[in-house]
Amino acid sequence: MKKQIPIILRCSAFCLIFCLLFGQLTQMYRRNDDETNEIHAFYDEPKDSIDVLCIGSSPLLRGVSPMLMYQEHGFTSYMRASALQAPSVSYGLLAESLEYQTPQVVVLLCDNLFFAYDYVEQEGDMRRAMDGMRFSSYKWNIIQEVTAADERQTALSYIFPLFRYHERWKEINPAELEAQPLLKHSYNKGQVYLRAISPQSYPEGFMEPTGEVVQYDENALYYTEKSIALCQEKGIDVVLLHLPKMSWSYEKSQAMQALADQYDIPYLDFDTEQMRNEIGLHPELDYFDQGHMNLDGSVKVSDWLGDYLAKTYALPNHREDPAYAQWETDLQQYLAKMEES
Amino acid sequence: MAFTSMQFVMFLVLAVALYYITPKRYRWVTLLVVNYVFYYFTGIKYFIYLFATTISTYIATIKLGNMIEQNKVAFQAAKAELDRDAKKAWKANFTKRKRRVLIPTLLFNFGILAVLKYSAFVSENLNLLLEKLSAPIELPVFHFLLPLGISFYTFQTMGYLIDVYREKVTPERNIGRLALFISFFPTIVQGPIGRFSALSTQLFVGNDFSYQKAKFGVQLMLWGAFKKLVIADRAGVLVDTVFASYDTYGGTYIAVAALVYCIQLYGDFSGGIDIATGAAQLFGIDLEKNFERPYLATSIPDFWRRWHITLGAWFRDYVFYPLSLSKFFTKVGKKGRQVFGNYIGKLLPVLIPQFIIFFLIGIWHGAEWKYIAFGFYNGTLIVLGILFEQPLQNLVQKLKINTACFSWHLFQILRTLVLVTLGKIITRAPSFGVSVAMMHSMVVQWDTDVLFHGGLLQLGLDVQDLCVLVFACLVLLCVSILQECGIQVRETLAKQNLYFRWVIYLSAVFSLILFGVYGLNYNAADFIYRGF
Repeated sequence: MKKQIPIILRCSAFCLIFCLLFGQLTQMYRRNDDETNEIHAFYDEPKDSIDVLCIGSSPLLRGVSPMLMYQEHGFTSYMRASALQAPSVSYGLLAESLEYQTPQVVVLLCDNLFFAYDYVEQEGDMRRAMDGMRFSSYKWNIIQEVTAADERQTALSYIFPLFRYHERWKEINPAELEAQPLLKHSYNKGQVYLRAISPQSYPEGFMEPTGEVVQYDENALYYTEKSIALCQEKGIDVVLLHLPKMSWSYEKSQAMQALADQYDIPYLDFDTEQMRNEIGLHPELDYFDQGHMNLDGSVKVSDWLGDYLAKTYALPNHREDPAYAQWETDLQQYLAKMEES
Repeated sequence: MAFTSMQFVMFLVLAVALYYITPKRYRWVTLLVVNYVFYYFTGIKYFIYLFATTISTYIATIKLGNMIEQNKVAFQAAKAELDRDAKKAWKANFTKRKRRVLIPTLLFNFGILAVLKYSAFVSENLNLLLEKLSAPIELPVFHFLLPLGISFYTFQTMGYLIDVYREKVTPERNIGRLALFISFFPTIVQGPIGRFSALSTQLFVGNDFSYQKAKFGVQLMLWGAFKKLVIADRAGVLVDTVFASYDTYGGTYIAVAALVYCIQLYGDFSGGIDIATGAAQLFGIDLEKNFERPYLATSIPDFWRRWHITLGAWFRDYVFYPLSLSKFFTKVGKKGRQVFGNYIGKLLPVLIPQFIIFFLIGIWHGAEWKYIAFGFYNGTLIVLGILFEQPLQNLVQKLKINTACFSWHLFQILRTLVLVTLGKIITRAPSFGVSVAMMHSMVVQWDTDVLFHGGLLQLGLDVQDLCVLVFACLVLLCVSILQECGIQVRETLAKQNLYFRWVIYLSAVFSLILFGVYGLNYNAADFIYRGF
């Protein structure tokens, strides 16, 4: 045995160096996406410090500002959102988040309920969200679903992203190679806003009944119902949300309302005429594109949503609470960054 | 389960751990279970063929073993009373009896291989013939899926059967051990084709863990993976591009693609063999060498001594020698001397079996005419080489060419490489006709200018990939030259300082991770020889 100790030590040292280099290269080669960083920075929030958790895809990512809601009402929120977030990822993120936080309210953006998700085509979007997730049984379940649907994708490449991004050696200038660790702490609290204005106009007959037959995607419905059930099981209030999108329709809105009624939960549709008028949304000023708010639009949406959440759920105001001093610092940073424009 | 997959790495780690935690006496049992688990991943339905080969060989070899033992006892008892002729007759009679066991077993096992691999080819061609003859019959064509490694394990097992028949090895009486020899998982995919005499002890004894051996094994696996993932699969992109639309590329491109295909095939096959050999070393088992820098060969026979060595050796020992030394070919030699004179007549018992061997090597690669053409091409080169050896030597002497210098050696290497490359075109092209058209284009559409005006970038690889490919090939060439000079790379490396060694090892691992052709944007290829 004595003879083997130096061998074991040597092998361990070699493995350690290998792991360090592997980690460093992973950081060098990874795709440095804001969404990935924001999803990852969630882990830095102190345990049980988040009052509202928002889960969903890009309209949420662009359209709601946790920081502005905090500034106005003092409750804390975080968005674990990413572009074209798969229903399985949304559920995984929710379930994982509930291991770290006990929010009073969970807001689920459910635009994708009518969208058949394609794991082959949306591989980039999958990774955008999953690269920011820590390894857990929830992540593993998503990986299982993805790799079962697309045999070209491997579980290993989701666990060790370097096996996916290794081919980026061609596109990265060696002189610019530097480690880009995942964001540790975020003052955006999951939001990635867009400043540009792209004047839009509502399509003719927008949100008027057309007799369109809408159908839930089976997989999306399964995960949405699972998410609602999980929250209800934990005694968390759920809100179904739809944010402004030009491709929305009256029938989809009705279908969402029906789902919300079925679970006895509120449904907020920001595309109804009443809501648009209430928040004062201007299509020529507040949109980044047809499906996303710009910064101005997000200010309006956040203002209304924050007001609604604070009043409806009697959320606590932490503005004077010393335990939330970091939120004050983050808010100043957030506002300063906003002002840069 | 591909050798370059993470599944295989995990499987191997688990298998090695299980092997060494098993008591020494039962390690072979663990190895057998591991083999069958590995084979299970390819599909349970293929077990039937593996079992059929195992059981038939077991029964035949036990029968042969019993016959041999009984014969020895009977012969010892009767020996004193037998004169020379009677002893000869006894031997001939016994050989005949042994053949009654050997031949049906050979027919049964090669029959399985033939039916699965060649029946569709034979039926299709017979149907074509019948159609030409306007015969109102059409044979059914069955396309079978080939069980993993059937060509390799059938040859390995039949080699063992013949060795028992020849009384070179004693038959294994434990069917489990025989099953282990037949199904040893590193070799079952694509060889090397092992010999019972060399493998049995290592497989059955229960090896102790050797750090040195395991370290060398891992290094060899890394080197194999480098050849496969960095070189072969990258080269494959270029090769596929040109061969898929050969008619749109001129002769220069085809020549480049053919040369790159040689590199691809070598990287792919020898890479796979290195991984297999390295994996076996983790169990303390040394496999036979299957490659010896074939592209540094100075002649076609030399090439075949260096390429797929175990297959060549198999054909040499079990087909060539029995044929060449058979009564029939002895008679052919005698008759040949009378008809063609001493020089050619003497060579006939060598030339004809050589031709047969290469025909067999050709069809071993696959059931297509192009493989038969490939066999004939090589057979013809070998036969011409033998026939013209003397006249060419005379010519060289007359021209006062110095054959003891580097330039002559280089010329021989390049000449052989050109001939080998032409042969590879035959196997890589979709059909023999296409390969002829491609070779024709190499002659009539030659324009080296295209290579210097961005032409190489039209072949599926961008500048960075080409640079990596060239650099990796240079590394391969350097290592090959070092080995050719008798330097044992791993052993030499092991003598260097720890820091230097680790830099080399880590560079190797990370070059594989970063520059390996795997993942979504690359369509990593399966091992080419796995299909043979």
